[in-house]
Order: sequence, then structure tokens, then C-alpha cells
Amino acid sequence: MGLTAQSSGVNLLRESFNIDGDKNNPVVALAGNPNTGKSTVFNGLTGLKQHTGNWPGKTVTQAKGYYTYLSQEYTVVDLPGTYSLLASSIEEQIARDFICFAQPEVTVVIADATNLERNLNLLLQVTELSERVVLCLNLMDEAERKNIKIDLNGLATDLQVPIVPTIARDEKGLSDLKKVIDKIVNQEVQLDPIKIKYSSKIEEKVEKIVPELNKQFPNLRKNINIRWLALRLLEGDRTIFETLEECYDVNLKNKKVVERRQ
Amino acid sequence: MSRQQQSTIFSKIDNLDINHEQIRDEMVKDIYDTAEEIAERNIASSEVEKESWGEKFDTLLTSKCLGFPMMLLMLGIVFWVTIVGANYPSAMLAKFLFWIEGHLSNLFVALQAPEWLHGMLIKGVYRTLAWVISVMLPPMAIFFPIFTLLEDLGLLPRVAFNLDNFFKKAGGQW
Repeated sequence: MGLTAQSSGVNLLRESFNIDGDKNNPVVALAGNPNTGKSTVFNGLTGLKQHTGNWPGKTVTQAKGYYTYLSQEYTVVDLPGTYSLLASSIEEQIARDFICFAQPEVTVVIADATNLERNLNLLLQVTELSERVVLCLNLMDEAERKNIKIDLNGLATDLQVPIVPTIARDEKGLSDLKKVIDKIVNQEVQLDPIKIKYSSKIEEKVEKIVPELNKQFPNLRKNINIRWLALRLLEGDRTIFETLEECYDVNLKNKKVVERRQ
Repeated sequence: MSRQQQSTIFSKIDNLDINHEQIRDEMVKDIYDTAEEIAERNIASSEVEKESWGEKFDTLLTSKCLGFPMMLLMLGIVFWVTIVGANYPSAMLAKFLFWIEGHLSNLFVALQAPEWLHGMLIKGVYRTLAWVISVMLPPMAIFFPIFTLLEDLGLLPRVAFNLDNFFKKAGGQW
């Protein structure tokens, strides 16, 4: 694979998210609002019949499955359904930490085509964390029935991400999705998705913190998006360093275990 | 990632003198504004859809003035059907089961079984069972299927929606 997952230690980090690093598959994360057919897409891709959800009374489980496209096996991880990545609930935190630290090769944001505006919020937050994002517009049949017309080309231009319309219930569009994922994994397309431009007040402060972070932690840049980290610090998240330490400590510990085994 | 490095960063942030909550709100607002702008530019819903049959029903059942009377009426009918309707099968069941009891008693007498055995098995075990079945079974057999139908028709979720505020006030949820 073109991506240097192993060398950067991401594989070990992934193991702490319960993703088997030794398989060395590209990881595809499915993110999306609740009730957008995320699990249907997951089942359609992997062929695994599985019920996932995070309503009260159901535990937040992380479903994963596998599929093969052009003789390459992929690991698909179904993230909990969330409306944002602001980490104000456990589900949001799980989704955020996975995209941030396990660094999936591709993150597919599954959106409800009948309610695109609300779904775009999540996409905009995902693109802050990762460049390799695909927008999967699900429930296209519903949108058609409700007379909602979406300008796919215009949307793709605005967002600068590949867009795949699907009707997951009928397994329509899923092979297109696999094709797009394959292209991104093999780096046949370079993505530079839209980044939210915050008000100048916020941007000024980000510009003050980013150099400081780079100075204090010169190695961090390799692992996470510094601008994103600065934004989290600005909104008062003081636990972010603990999460970082946790993740990279786990990483280091695992490394030692591996070394000893060899 | 030492404590010292972290505190350097934190003090730097503190020096910026910012209200975190305000910043967070502004960030969320910026995200939503961007999403709205992009959505508006690329989505055209050609005509406002007519309210469907289900939506009309929905407005009716969850409306401020009609919601509660409808709910009480609906549950009232269910309870009335259950209580009144159960009387008839109850009476029939009781009649049937006690007719069997008479015959069982006759059998015990014919076999010259001791009185304590007859008392324990027939007057004790059988009679209790017969009463419980004839009193409890019909209401349950009527009430639960109706309730299941209400649930599947989506009427109970609407009741729950109506009662949401009351449960909140009672501290049942937060």
C-alpha cells in the first residue's frame, strides 16, 4: 500500500481500537448521522448481517467487517452514529478518536440525501481531521420521492470531496463507492477537501497557538492535525493531551511487547 | 509530552484571554453557517410537498389541545374493551373449569380417595388454578394484542411524546 501505516506506528494504535494491525488492510471508517442507513451501507459492503445502533439500552459497539475489491481486502469499521465530532457524548468521542488516532485510509461520511444540510455539518468536521473523505449520499430514492434535487457536481465542487449517490437498501451505488475508495487508497486521486474558515477572531487565535504547538511538540505534526488540535484547545478541551498521551503511550507499550516477541 | 510543555501551551492559551464557551459556540455557528450555505447553493426542492395522510394524523394526535383528550379517549376505549369484554370469556371459562372440577370431585369420591388428598388437589391446587386462569387470562388476551397494535400503529410513541414534558418535570429524565 502506498500509505506508510506500519512505519508510523499507526498499526499499533489501531490495535488499541480493536483493529487487527497484522492484517495490514486499508481501513475504511463509516461515519454518519443516526438513521442515514449507515448500517445498511455497512452490511451492503461487507455482506455481514449485523444490527448496530446506539439508542438507550444498546451498548455502543464498534462493528467491523471485511470486503475484497480487486483482490485487495479492506477492513470496514462502523462508527457510532453522531451528529457532530465535538466529543460531547461517548459516541461522538469514539468517532472522533477513531478518525483522529486510528487514521483510517478512507472515511466515508454517509449522509441522508433528504436532509443534507444537517448531515453536512458532520462532513465539515470530518474534513478538519482527515483529507481522505468520501461523501456517500444515501437514500437517494427518498430524496427523489420528496422532489429534492441535489446538484451533485456543484456539491462536489464546493466540498472538494468525491460524492457517491447510493440507495443502500437496494445495494445501488455500492460498487461505485468501492471503486472510489480503491482510488483513494491507491492514491490515484489526491484530495484537498473543504476546510471551514472560522471567523477572523478565531483564526487569529489559531495562528497564535499553532506555532507554539509546533515548537513544543515538533513530532506531533506527523501524527495529528495541529490546526485541529489548536481549535480543540481554543474551545477549552484540556483533556486532549491526556487522550494523546493515552494513545501514544499505548503505542509505545505495544511496541515494546512486539520487540520482545521478536 | 511533558507536564511542563503542556503548561507552557496552557498558559499561552490563558494569555489569549478567551471565553472557551463563547469560542465553541462561534465555531459551531461557523460550521452550521457553512453547511447551510453549501446546502442552499446545491439543493432545489421543487415544490413543497402536500401534507401526507400520516402527517395530518400526527399533527392531530400530538396537538396541544387535542392530544390529551385523544390519548385519554384512546386509552379509555382500550381499558373499557378490556374490562367489559373480558367478562364474557371469563364467565365461560369459569363455568367450564368448574364443571370439570365437579367431575374430578366425583371421580375422587368414586375412587374412595382420602379427604385430605381431595382437599389438597381439587379444592386447593385445581380450584386456585381455575380461578386464576378464568380471571386473568381473558383480560390479558384482550389487552396485550390491542396494546401491541397501538404500538405498531405508532399511537403509543405519540402518547410518549405528549407525556414527555410531564416525565421531565417529574425528574424521570434529564
